Amino acid sequence: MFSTHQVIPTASLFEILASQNDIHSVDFGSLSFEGTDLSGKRFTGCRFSRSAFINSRMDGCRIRMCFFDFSRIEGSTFKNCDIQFSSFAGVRLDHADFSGSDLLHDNFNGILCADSTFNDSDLYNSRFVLATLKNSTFQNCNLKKTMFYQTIREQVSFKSSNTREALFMKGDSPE
Amino acid sequence: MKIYFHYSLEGFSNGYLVGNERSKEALIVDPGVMNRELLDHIEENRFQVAAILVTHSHESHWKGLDTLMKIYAPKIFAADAELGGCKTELLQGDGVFTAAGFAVRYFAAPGHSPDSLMYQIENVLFTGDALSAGRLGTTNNDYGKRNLLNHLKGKLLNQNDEVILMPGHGPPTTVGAERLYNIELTRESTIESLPLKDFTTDREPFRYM
Repeated sequence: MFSTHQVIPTASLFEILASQNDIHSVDFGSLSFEGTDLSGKRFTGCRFSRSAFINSRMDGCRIRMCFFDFSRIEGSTFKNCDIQFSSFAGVRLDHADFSGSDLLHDNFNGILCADSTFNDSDLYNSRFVLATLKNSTFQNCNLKKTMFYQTIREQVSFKSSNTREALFMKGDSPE
Repeated sequence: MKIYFHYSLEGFSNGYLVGNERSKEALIVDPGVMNRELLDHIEENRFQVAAILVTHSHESHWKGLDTLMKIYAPKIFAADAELGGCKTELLQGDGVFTAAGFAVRYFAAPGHSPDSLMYQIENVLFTGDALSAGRLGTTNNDYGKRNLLNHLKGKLLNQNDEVILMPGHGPPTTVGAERLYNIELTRESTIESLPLKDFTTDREPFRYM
């Protein structure tokens, strides 16, 4: 579910994050989360565009129709999350951990991803168009209909993942 | 406005239920499937389905019409006079109409199919198969591709970066993301030139520790 975002004073956003576990249609854009633990929260139709997640935890979160576009995610974990129909376009991932997560219908186009892991995740119908992936792992993942068009890959491991059901450009094989 | 995403496993297509919380009316964009989940969303919210917007005549985008019309009596909007035996409100070119209490702008975007339309409600644009995240809609030939590109330049890329795009297939995106990461739209760009370092915003950064 996605709603048009409410305009909320910045100070009140702190109160919402601290007091609510089920958060709908709030614009958290351009916030900086450092050493924050938001594990287990449910976000629906929220915006985190141009935010920074530094050494933060979002483990076990349920995220639907949320936008993290052009954010920075460093040393943060999104383990065992359920993130569907959301966008991380243009995000810079550095030492991020998305392992064990459902990442269905998600937009990772244009991400700059380094030293990060998506191991044991379901990436069905997600996209990594024009992404740059370095020293990252996608081991034991479901990659059915996952699109890796014009993706730059260096030291990327797809071990035990169904790359044959993923979508790569002609002549670009991960094997 | 509330939007619910529905995925059809038959055509791998996206459908959307758009609810008006004030009037309790709703419209459905591309009912590729009519299933229990969609019905539950409609009924739990006590929405009255007032309109169906079809982006183009490929079956995976309207196959649920038959079942929907047995339950509700919405108007169907499309660029085709008839879909699956149902008469429609015929839309041509660009314009605006009111449905479910929303002002709905529509834009012709032929290329993927001759009858392709995009619909915009507030800051959300439903692109159908004209564009999906990172890709232009498929076309049969170069003429179709040029035609589609021209329409998108004038009707989609001229919009604000924050406008949200809900495509007929694949994940959601924004105008800003497509400007940078759509293969066809950025053909002349190089990865190195993409302004990923641009972290500027009008909003005062707020630290939440």
